Amino acid sequence: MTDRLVTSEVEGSALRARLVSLALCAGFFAVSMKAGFVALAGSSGQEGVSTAFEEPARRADIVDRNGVLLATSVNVYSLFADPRAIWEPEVVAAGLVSVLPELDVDTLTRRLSDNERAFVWIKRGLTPRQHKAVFDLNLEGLGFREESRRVYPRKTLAGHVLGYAGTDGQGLAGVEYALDAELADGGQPLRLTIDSSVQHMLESELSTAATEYEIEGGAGVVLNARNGEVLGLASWPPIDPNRAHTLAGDDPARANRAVNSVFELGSVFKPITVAAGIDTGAIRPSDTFDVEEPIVIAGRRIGDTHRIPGPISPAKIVSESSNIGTVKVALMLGARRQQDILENLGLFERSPIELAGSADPILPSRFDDIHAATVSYGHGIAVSPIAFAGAFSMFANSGEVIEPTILANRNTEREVRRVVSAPTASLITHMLREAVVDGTGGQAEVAGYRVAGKTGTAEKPVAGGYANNANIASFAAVFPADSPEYVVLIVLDSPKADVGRGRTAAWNAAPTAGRVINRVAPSLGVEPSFDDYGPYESPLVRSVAERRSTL
Amino acid sequence: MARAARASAIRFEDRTLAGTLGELPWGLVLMLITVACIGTAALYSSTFTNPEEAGLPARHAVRFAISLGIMFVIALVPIGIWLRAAWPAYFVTLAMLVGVELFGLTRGGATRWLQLGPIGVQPSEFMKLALTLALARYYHNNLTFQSGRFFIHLPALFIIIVPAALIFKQPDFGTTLALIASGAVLIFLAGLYYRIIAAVFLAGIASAWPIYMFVLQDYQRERVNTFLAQLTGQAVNTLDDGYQIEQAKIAIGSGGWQGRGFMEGTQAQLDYIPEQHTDFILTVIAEEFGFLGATGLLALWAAILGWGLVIAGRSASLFGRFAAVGCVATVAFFILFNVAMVLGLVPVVGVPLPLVSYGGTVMFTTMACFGILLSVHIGRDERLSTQGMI
Repeated sequence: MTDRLVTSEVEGSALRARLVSLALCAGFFAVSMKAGFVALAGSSGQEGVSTAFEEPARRADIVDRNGVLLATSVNVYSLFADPRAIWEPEVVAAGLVSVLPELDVDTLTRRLSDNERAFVWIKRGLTPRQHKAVFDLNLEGLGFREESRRVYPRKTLAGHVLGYAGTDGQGLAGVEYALDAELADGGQPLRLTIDSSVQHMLESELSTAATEYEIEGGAGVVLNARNGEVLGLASWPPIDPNRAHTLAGDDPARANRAVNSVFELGSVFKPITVAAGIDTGAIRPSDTFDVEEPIVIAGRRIGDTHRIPGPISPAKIVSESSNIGTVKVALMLGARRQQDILENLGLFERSPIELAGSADPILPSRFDDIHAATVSYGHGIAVSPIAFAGAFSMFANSGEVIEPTILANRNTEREVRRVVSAPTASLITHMLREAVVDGTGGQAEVAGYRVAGKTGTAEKPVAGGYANNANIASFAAVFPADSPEYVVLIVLDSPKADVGRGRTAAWNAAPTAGRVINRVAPSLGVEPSFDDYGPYESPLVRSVAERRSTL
Repeated sequence: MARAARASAIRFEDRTLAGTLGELPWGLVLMLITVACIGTAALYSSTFTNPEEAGLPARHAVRFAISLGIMFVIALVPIGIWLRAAWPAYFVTLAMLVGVELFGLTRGGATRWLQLGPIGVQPSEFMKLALTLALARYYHNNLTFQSGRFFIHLPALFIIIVPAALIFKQPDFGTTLALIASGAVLIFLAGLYYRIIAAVFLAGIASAWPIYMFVLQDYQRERVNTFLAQLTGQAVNTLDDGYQIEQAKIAIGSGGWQGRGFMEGTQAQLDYIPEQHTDFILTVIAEEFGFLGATGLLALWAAILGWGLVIAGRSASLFGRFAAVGCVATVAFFILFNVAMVLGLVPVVGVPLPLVSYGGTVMFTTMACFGILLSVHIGRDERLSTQGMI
C-alpha cells in the first residue's frame, strides 16, 4: 500500500506554509521596528534619562566652615532575596528574623513566597556586623548588594540645614536637595558657612527655651553681617537626618522654621520704620511724638500695650516699643517710601539662601492706610526668619544689607545694597542698644557684649483671624553694639506665661537671644568691653566696602 | 512498487556515520554556535562586576557544548524512530505532568518539579518537544483530503489542551502560551478552515474579559494591568511593577544605534535590570552593541529559523514536515515573546531568549528542537509509512 496521502496534496498547504513563514517574518520585523523606535527615542529624547544612570560618583561630603564632617557616605550592604530560588520561605524567614529581629516573620514569609518576583529587598543598609550574621546563616536565595548610604555623624546638629538624602542617594531636603546635582557629582566636600559650635549652642538654647516656655516651635539664626555667612541656623523641634525617613509627612520636626515658615514678627519691624523715617527726612531724631491717645486709622483703633507718658523721641518709640508712635512715623513716611525700604531690604521676596523651600513672604494685598500702619509695627506682613535676619543686617553694616548664604568659599559676587545711610543705621543701632539697656529688651543684655536689639510680640494668626492667647515672640539683635558684626534672631511660637513672667517677647525671646549671645560671642572671638556706651556718640562709621578695603 | 520508489532515496541503514555527518547543514550549526557565543559574551559583560556570578558565562558555554552533543545524538537517530517514539514520549510526559499535580515539589508557590531519584525534573519543558512530536505523529496518520473539517482537528486540540491546562495550573503562564502557540501553528498548517479560525479568533476576543475576571490569579491580573498601563502610556510605579520594563527600555535607549561598546553598558552592569542575565539579556546586547547589534542577533535567529522552515519544506513525510515546523515554532515563540517582553509589547511572563539567556532547561529544549530538525533533514526523503507499525 502507498501512503494515504501525499503531503503536497493537503488543501492549500503550500499557501499555509508560506503564511506561517510570512507570520514569522512579520513577527521579527515588528519587534525590530519597535526596538528601533526605542533605540532611536533613547538616543535623542531620553538622553536625560539615560545619563541619569551614569556611574554614580560617591556623593560628596558636607563639612562645616572648619571642616567638621556633617554628612558623609558610607558603603553598606543591602540584603535582597530571589524568591524563586527559595524552597522553604518559612525557614529562610525564621533564620533572618533570628539575626534581624526588627523584621516581621509573617510579612517576610509572604514576600519570600512570591515566586513571581526574582528580586525583593529584605533590608537595606545592614551594618557590617549584621552583614556577617546574615552571611553566616548560609541561607538559600539571599544576596547582598553594596550600596552607598548617607550618614550624618552629628545626628541632629544642623539637621534642618543639611536636610537628608533618600536610600537611593537623592537629596530630599535642605542642602542635600538644593545642591543635589553638585553633591551627586562627587569630588571635594561641600563646605558650609555653619560653625558647628555656634550651631550647637544655638540649638541647645532653643531646646532650653522649648522646655522653659513650652513653645510649639522655634527658629534661630546667627549671621555674620559683614559677609552674609550664616553661622548658625536652627529650627525646633530638631530633626535627625539619619532618621528622617521614619517621620510622618506632617511631622512638626520636618519643617525648617527658619527658612520654610513665615511669621508675623511684630515690633522687630519698628526700627526699620523709624530708620526709613529718619533716612528720608520724614522725621528728625529730635522730633517728639504724642503717644498717649490711641490713633484711629480707617475706622481701626491702634493703641499701645502700656501707657507711655509725655511726648517721646523716635529713640523712645523704639525702646518703649510704641505702636502709636511707629504708626505716626509711618504716616509721615508715606506708604510709598515704606514699601521702598521693605523691598530694598529684600522682604518682598523669598530669601535667596541656598536651601530647599525658602518661603515666600505673605504681604498685604494693598498698601492702603490701615495696612501701611500695621506693617509699620510688623503686623499683616509675614516673612521667614532667615529673610528678616538678612534685612536686619543693615543695622550691623552701616545701612547696607547683604544676602545671607550657607555656602563657604564661593567666589560669586553677592549683591550688597545700601538701604539707608551709614549715620542713620548707626543712630538706629544706638536706639536698639537703648532698648536693651533701658527698654523691653533688658533680658537680652549680656555683660560685656553690648547687645543692641528689639523685641517683637505678634498675635499668632489662626484660621479666620488672630489667636487671643498665643503669640509669636521674637528678638532681633546685633552685637557688639559699638561695632556690630553679628545678627542674632530668635523666633518662638506660642511661648507660655508663668508665675512672674508674661508671654511677650521680653520674657522669653529676649532672654533666649541673650543666652545665645552669651555663649557664641566668646567662641566668635568678640572682645568683651565694659566701657560706658555714650548715647548718640557716633562711632567710626564705615560702609561694608570701606571695611573690606581696610582688611 | 513502494519499495522501488524508495530505492532512489538513500536508505538510512546504507549510510556511514561520516556520510551522515557530512550531510548535516553545517551552516545552520555554525549559526547556532555563533548565537551561543554572543550569549556567553553578553553574560560575561553583564556579570563580570559581580563576583558571585563570575562562573555563569563559563557554565553557559559548557551547557551549550553538552546541549550541542545532545543535538547531534538526536539528529543521528533516524526519523522513523522519532515517529515511533512520539506517542510514548507524549503520554509519559503527560503522566509526569499529572504526577507533578499529585506529588510535585512546590518551590515558592509554583508546582513545576518532579523529584525522580536524585534529580528534580520539569516535565513542562519536555512537553514542548513531546507535544510537537505527538501532533506531527497525529497529522502524519490522520490528515485527509477533508482536512479542513473541524472534527479531524478535534483530537489535536485535545492533545494540546490537556497538557496546556495542567501546566497552566502549576502555574506557568509562559510555557502554556508556548504550547498553545506552537500547537496552533501546526493546526493551521494542517489546513483548518479559515472560517473556523476566524470563529475561534472572535471567541478568543470575546472571552478575554471573562478570563481576566475569573480565571487569572490576582498577581497575573496585576501584571496584565501594569502591561496595559504601560502600553497606553499611563504612569506606572517605576520602582515596583513596571521597573524591569522601564529599566530595560532605558538600557535599549541608551544603546542608541551602535551601542556603548562591549562591557561599557551601565544599566546592565550596575544591576539596574533584574534578571539581566536571564530573561533580559537582550538589554545587555542592545545597550552595548546598540540597535544594530540587537537586530543583528535577531537577523541571525531569523536566518536559522528560515533554514528550519526550508528543511520542513523539503521533508517528504508529513511527520517530518510537521515536526520541523513545530520545532521552529517553539523556538520562534521563545525569541519573539522574549524580545516583545523586553520591549514592553507583551506582559512579563518569564520567557528566556534561547541560547543567549542563562538557563539550562531552555538551552536543552532549544537544542533538542534543532536535533529533531536535523534528524528531519537527514531523513528528508523517507516517506515513513506507518502501515503495519501501529
